[in-house]
Amino acid sequence: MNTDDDSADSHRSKELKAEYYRSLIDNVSDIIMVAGPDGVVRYVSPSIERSLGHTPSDRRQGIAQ
Amino acid sequence: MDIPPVIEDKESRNSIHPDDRALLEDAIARTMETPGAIGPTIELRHRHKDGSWRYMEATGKAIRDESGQPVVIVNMRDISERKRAEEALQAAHRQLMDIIEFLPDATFVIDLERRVIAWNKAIEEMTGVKKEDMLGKGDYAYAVPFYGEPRPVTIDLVLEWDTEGTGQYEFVKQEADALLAASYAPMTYEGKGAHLSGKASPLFDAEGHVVGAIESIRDLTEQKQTEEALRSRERELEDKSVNLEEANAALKVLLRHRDEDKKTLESTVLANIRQLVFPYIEKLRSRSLTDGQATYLNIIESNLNDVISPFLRKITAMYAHFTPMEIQVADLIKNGRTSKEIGELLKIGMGTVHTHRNNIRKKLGLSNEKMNLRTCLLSLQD
Repeated sequence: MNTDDDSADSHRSKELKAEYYRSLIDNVSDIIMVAGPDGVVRYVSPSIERSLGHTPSDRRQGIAQ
Repeated sequence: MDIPPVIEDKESRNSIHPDDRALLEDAIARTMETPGAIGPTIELRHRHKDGSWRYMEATGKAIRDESGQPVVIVNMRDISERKRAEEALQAAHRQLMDIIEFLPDATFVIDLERRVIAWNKAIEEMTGVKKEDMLGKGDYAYAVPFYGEPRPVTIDLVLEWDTEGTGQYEFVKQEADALLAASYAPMTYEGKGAHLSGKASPLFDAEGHVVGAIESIRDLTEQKQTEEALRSRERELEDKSVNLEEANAALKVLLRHRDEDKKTLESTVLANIRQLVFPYIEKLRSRSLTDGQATYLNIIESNLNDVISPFLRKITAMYAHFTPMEIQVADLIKNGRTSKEIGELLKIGMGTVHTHRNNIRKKLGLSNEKMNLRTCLLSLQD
């Protein structure tokens, strides 16, 4: 996986990889959440809508981009 | 913190059922303590947008985010349907257990490992063993409160037919899948013992596989006692009826004796008056009597005849003592036939006719030659 491509290619490749993993997470039926040690939810996957009716944006959830 | 919280803490907490918040916080704390390892799996209630509570199963893992901050990545799924199904199943199971619990017959259930999974109230009463002390026990523990030793019983015969095991029962009967068996269980009812009949059936799952067995036990002691009481009553009645028959026979004999005694007495009185009194009356009459004396004599004779007249009537029955030949001879005499004629009619000799005449005279108490046999027979006619 680790190639010594030039930085632009590397950046592009990283973006693709992130996109790929995001789409994986977005499409699992389980709800994936990221919570801080304080218990505050920072990210929640879209599948929450099917289970609990909320959309991630309802709750302004999701990792800040 | 580089990344600001995107959800109000309050709102996040409110979406978790109050009773489950402590559980969640504890789970997060424990997950954070062991970074890289999967934390505990918990079940919690999360509010749906429509306001209802949903059962969720959640597990987490402590990792560091891209900025190096420790976070917990949580994997959560809706298990409400599974929960509902489980609860429905548990309710159905509880209902079945309640039904078994309150069955009037002593009942217990075992699984395939022969462990007790149900032990109802009636069997507690029968054995004195509480369900807490029996549930989960195997190794034929359920036989001990009945027979004092662990051993296979009817319920085991259902799971594993064993012809040797059937020997300890008074009878074993197969009815489709079920087995009916009876035996005496000395340990039941605090050692009082009881005659029991047990009916055991295998239990099947939805696919028809045997998953266990159930046995219901009935106390036959009362029935046996009733049967025994009936039998002894019957014996008593038989004895009584034999006694009555004997008493009846004895009474019959007594009555016959009394009858015979009476007849003997009557014929003796009759004979005595005829032989010992009337001849002297005749002798007196042949003497020269005054008119008054003759009258008295007639009164005496008439009164004596009155005295013996009931005997005379009864004496008709004395024909019963006559032989058939004597009855024929007596009849002919009554009709005025001579001995010669009788002999010819009955085709017997004169000597025989005389013997019959003498026997008839004897039987009528007429030994006195002077009494006319025909007159006497005629007087007996009424």
